[in-house]
Amino acid sequence: MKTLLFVDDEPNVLQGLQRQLRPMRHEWNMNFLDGGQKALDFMAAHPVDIVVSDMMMPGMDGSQLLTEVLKRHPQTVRIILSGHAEREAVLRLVGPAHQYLSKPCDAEELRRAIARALSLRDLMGNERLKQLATRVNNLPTLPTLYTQLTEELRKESPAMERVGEIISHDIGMTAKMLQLVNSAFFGLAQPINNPQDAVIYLGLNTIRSLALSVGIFSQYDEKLCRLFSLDVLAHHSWTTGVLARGVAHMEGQELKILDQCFLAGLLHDVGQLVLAAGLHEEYTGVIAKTSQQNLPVWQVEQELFGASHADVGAYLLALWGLPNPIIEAVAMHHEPSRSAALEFSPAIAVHIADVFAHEFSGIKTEVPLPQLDTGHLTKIGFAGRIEAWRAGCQTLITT
Amino acid sequence: MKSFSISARLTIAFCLLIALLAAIGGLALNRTQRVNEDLNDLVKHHWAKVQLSRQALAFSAANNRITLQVFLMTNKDDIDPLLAQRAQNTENISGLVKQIERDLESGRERDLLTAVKEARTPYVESYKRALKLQLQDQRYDEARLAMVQVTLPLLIRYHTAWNSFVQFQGDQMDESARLAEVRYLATRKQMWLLIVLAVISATVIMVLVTRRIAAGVAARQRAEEALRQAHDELEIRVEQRTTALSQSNQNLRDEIVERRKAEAERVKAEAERDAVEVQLHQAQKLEAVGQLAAGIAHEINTPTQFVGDNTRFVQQSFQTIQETCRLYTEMLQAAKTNSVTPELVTRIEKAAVAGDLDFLFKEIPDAISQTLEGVERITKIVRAMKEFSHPGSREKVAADLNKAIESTVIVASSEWKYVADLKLKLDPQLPLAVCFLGEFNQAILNLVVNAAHAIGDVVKQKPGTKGEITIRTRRDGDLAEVRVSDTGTGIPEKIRPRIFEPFFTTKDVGRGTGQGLSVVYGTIVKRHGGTVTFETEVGRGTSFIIRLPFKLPEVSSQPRSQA
Repeated sequence: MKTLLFVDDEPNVLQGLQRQLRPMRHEWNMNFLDGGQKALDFMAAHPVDIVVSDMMMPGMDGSQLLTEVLKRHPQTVRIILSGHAEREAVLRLVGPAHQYLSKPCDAEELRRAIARALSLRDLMGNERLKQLATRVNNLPTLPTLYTQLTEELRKESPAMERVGEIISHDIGMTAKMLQLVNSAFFGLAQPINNPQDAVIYLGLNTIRSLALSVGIFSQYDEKLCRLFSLDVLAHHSWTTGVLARGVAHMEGQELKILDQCFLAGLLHDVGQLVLAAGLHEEYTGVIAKTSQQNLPVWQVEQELFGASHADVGAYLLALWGLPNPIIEAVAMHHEPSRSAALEFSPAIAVHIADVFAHEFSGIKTEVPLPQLDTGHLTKIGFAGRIEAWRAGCQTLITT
Repeated sequence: MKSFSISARLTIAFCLLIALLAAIGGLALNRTQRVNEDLNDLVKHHWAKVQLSRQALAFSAANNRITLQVFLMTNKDDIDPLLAQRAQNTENISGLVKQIERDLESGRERDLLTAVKEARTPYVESYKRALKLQLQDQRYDEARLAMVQVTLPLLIRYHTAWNSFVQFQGDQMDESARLAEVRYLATRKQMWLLIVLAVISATVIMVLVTRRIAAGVAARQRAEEALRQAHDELEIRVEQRTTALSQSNQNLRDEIVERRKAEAERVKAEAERDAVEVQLHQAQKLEAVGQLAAGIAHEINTPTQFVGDNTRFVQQSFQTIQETCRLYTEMLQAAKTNSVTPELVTRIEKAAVAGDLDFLFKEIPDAISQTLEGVERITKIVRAMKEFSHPGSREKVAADLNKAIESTVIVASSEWKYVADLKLKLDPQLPLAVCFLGEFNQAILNLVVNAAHAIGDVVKQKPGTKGEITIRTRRDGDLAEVRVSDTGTGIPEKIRPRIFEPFFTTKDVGRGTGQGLSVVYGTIVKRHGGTVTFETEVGRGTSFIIRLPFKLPEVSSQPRSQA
């Protein structure tokens, strides 16, 4: 049975939640506490899977509580449920909270958010990786892009498009930006799938606070994990995003799908970033082993950790509440056959784009390149399109 | 006159220089001549003599060889050419000796040459005797014996004499060369001294002359400059005088324009100041609204959350109860017809358990009362908002200040409730006061927010604690007194005189614009003819005391056109 903890200084809110979530009592062990310190004391004695906390509380507020939880119990999923409407408060939560839900929040919505996070935890087999990904509150950023962004933001009148352009080249900044904009705080009817739109929606002031003061974007230290280059990964990710969008375009997909394809392409290897930044030495070993055993990276990861970077990345993005098609595409970019879908999807586009981006990169590596899953592509009726896609991607790369 | 003098000086200086150089040159030539003579002497006397002596020696040596050969031969035909050669050589030697003799200088030389000649005579005689034995008498053995025993020693003597002569000449030459070198070195030293002397005197002369010339030129330039300055100054003075005149003229005209303009500006500035004051007040109001909006949203969203949860719970519970009631109705029907079956009873019992009926009956009353409480809270805050921003509050109205304070406190509750408890000690006997209610509310709000911030700074140092805000009202004769007290940080002594200044703030950017207390002051003192005072102690807290008349004085009772 999963253990849940709800924290709110308003007893009426706790009782209301208790009544509403009573039907789940056979699956969830739910606990309701009216203060941050009590919550921490409880967690010291009982392992908790998910903590759902109010923001404004006397004594210790939600942001302080979740920061403490992140420190003491990194494996616990952290959700904020707040009626506060100040953007400033949300910026304080960007770090410690995985998701933000706004009061008043439909119990059904709350139940779904919790259920989704719980099911993800079951999917992630390896406890250590689960803890690693749950602990991540920011993703390292390429120092050059970070400098470009701060320089642009310090200008008297920064160009929105330029800011969006810089962010859309960086895995960490894009992921964080989309986590924030898709949170319930902004109450968007349709999820945003495009970093440029996210910039426009959040506004330059919010992005400035994110980049300059809150310290949500951390810079990547190349020395931590030898053999792993964020520069190379960022370039490959961006190329994959562009190619995935190109492939979707060739298939005549609508704009929303094109955006999803680019985003999923850009973020498809986010798990590598988590592993490289979190496990340094060990991940250096993984990369070394790929060339020794002539196996793709994800298979070595699977063998050593019981989960691949695709699983870690999808888990993290799901925790952060990114749209489902993105998560699916990230999770299945090596094995699109795991998807039940029989039509074109971002997962297919990213799989193809990933393979072609490696193929056309011109970089000779000792690591074996990923291969197209022609069996699956034949099964869903796309075998005949492969050559056209290849040609199209080749053109995109050269232009 | 001066230029002539300079050119004369120059000429004299150059003449002097040339004379000096000529003298040095002459001396140098003379010295060189002497060195040359020395060398000539060396070559002419000694070197020539040494050379001639050596030649003579060489011929003599050749003759000796011939002599020895002749004594080894017997055939006359072989001997004759040799003898002819020898005669020739002898002649050459004689020639050389004569040459040497011509040039003999010292007695020692002569003696040495005489010694050579004397040594030669016995040698030649003995040789001739030996030769005669050899050639004419054919007594070869005797000839050879004579040769070896008599001639050869004499020959050696002869050679030794020559060698002595040559040796002497060589020594003489060395001596001469040494003397020449000594003289040459002395000469060289003298030459150097002369050159140095020349360079120094030339430099001294040139420096002296140049300085004299420069001094002359500078003096002339100074004179010219003085002349020009005098001229310029005159012109400038004329110009200044002209400018001053036209300036004073212009000033007079400007002054007239300025006075007219200043009058107009004074009027305009007064109007602007009034407008700015109004704008300030308006801006502060907007700021307060913006600041409060998020807090009010939170105050509404929280009860809405549990009102929603509870109502949905009651809705779902009602369905369960309805379902169960249907089974009970069924049972009632069965009871009426006396056909109750154990299956029916079990069904009802199972439904009651499945429907969680015990829980529902326990929770539903609470859910309903909490819902009502939530709705009440929402109503209260919405009503307070309405009262706070009273639509008629721009007009002066007779207002219940206690009620106004109550609603303001509710509107601001999200500002203070996380850091402080708030106590209202309001005098129920307080009469109605005629005032601009909206502005009064704003003033109270500003004081409450300030109190909350002051307490917030204390609470930040001691997490988990809460401060206290107390608001008291009472009647003080014709005045209503409102006292807002907090247990915050207190106001440091050095900033106390400045706290009512507009835009003065000690808060972080984004937390305050420094208008709060200035607006309080403007509202109470200027608009209502009241007073604002404060009592404060650092570390203990602050009280702001507002006093305002129940009846507004006529002066400021006219609402402003823009307000």
